[in-house]
Amino acid sequence: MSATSAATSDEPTFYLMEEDDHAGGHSSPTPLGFWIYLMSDALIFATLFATYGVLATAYAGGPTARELFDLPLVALNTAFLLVSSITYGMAMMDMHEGKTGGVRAWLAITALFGLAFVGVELYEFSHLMAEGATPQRSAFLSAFYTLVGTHGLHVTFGLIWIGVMLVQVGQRGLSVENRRRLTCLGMFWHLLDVVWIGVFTFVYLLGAVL
Amino acid sequence: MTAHDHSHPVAHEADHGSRRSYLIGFLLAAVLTAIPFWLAMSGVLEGRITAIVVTVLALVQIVVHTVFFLHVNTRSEGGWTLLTLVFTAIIVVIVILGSLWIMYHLHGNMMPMAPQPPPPPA
Amino acid sequence: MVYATVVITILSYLVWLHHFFTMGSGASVNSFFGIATMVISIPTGAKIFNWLFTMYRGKIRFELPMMWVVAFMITFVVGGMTGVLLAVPPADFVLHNSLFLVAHFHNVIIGGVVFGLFAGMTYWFPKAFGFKLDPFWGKISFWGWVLGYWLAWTPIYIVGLMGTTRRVRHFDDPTLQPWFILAGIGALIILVGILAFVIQIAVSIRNREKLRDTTGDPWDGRTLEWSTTSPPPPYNFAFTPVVHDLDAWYDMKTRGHRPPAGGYRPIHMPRNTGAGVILSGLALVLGFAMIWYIWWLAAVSAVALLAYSILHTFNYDRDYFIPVEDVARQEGAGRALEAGA
Repeated sequence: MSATSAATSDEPTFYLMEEDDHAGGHSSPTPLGFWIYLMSDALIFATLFATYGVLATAYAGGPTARELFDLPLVALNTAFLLVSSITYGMAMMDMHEGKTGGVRAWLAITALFGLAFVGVELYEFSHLMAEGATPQRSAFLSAFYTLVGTHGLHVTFGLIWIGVMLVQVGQRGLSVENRRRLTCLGMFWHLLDVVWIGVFTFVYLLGAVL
Repeated sequence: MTAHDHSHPVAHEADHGSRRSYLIGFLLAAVLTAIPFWLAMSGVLEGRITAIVVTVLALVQIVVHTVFFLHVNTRSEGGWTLLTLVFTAIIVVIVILGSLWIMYHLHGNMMPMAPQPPPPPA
Repeated sequence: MVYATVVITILSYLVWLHHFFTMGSGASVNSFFGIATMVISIPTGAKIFNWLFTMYRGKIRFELPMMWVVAFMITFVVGGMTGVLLAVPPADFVLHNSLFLVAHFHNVIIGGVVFGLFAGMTYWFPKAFGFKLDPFWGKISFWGWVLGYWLAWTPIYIVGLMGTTRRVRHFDDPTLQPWFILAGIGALIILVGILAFVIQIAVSIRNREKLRDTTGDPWDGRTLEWSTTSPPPPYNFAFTPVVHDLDAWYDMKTRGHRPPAGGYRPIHMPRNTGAGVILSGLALVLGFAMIWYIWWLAAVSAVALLAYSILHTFNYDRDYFIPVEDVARQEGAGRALEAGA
């Protein structure tokens, strides 16, 4: 780094006269900024988990967690989401190796698993509501639908984002912008899986056990 | 930004892992998911113990996902990723444990102890 | 200072129950949150002493920003101390919902936020808009606010201690009346301060040529923002400054260093976009529609929000370069202003 100043030689440098060109994009601050957004998203889920924790036994004479939850179905859904995490990881690996086709294929597979997850969750919700376990039935069910529904909504937005990325990678290949977006989408997708660990453990498993 | 930071941009880039680390993470995550589901569905252990084991496994799995899928380590983004994660974890713990603790005490102090007798007829 | 800020950052997440001491969560919960609330006063005190010792034996000029800072420190400290009183749960059971509490939080919000805001606004106004604020009307506004504040809120503390609850429109005890009249006069003096502030802005805009900051450094400042022109060029600095001292600009000035006057390079800049304003406008409509159960509007605005965000990602033309000639012209104009001053 050659940096000069008009003044005498023993005086320290006050201004960098020649600089790196930032256009290369290698030092983009975006991933850190997006990470901090994800941390704030984690706080939203923390408040929803706290609410659920407080209201988890407020059944108001309605159905209890143990009566309602269908663990094999939840296990299936958990598997869908976990597999979608590893398929997204494969998409990222192909991205770093510059394989555009591989990225698109793995993205599409990830989206299929994500769709399956949302589909199963909607089936579960409709099934519960058909049994009379609606959000209005008890504080426990309000908290349950808010927490699990917010996670499901995040996955849905992730699916829309994957769709957009499929189009954009198709249009422009693995450009600097698209690599950055795929990195951010990956962090988003993996964080949803982390949140799901909390959901299946503290809502479904503990609900069925305790 | 000093001249030093400019000359070593690589040190600030996010780590992106490898196929191998993804597969290790996936295997660990699969095991850590399978055990709690099996414990809860089979009921081999007593309820309270199952709850404790399941909770501990969930915390371990969160760490596994954070390390192997989200690639958080001390070097990523010059340590800022880890720092923000630690801060968030502190707030998450405060919010969840604080709410549960307060509401547990409130419940103990403010809820009627026994079914109340019906109000006298007016 | 940094450690105090970090400690407050963490501690401030451990105090929220001090709003609900009387709800019945019991002794252990109340004492935990009471102590956590009181402990906050230690790092806050460290900050206050830090500011005081920064001023101690310094050459203090009582210009408007400094006057606001001093008013902020004095008022905020009193508000903080009544806060420590309220942090004691048994005391809070007595003072809960009283005018003492109301006086306390106005004390910290007016003393801690409003006065600080005025200090910062008066200080950086010339940097942002290129001309200073009129000091005469500023001083009237200052004295109106500070004297009015103390005349209005001290009686409220007193009637609060005597047991007056908040949000009452009627009280039976006529001996309280003088205190409320005193507080009313104080409120009128604050009104004078508010009006003087509005006049100050109007007068400053009218006299902007006379108040124009041609140097970029109207206060003989110490930090780097004062090394640029007022208002600063869109790229802020033609060259990235290198910091060698806590007060980098003061350091450069004492060593007689000026920003380089040549050898400019084109500057890479992000393009302006209306996306943020449009998205937040749509989000506002969505929030309004959901609060009032206007479902068709909620659906329309949600779809529009999503569609616009996606559309925006297809715009790849996000940056541009400011050509060397423009940089040279901006820098040259800045230097010419300085030379003429």
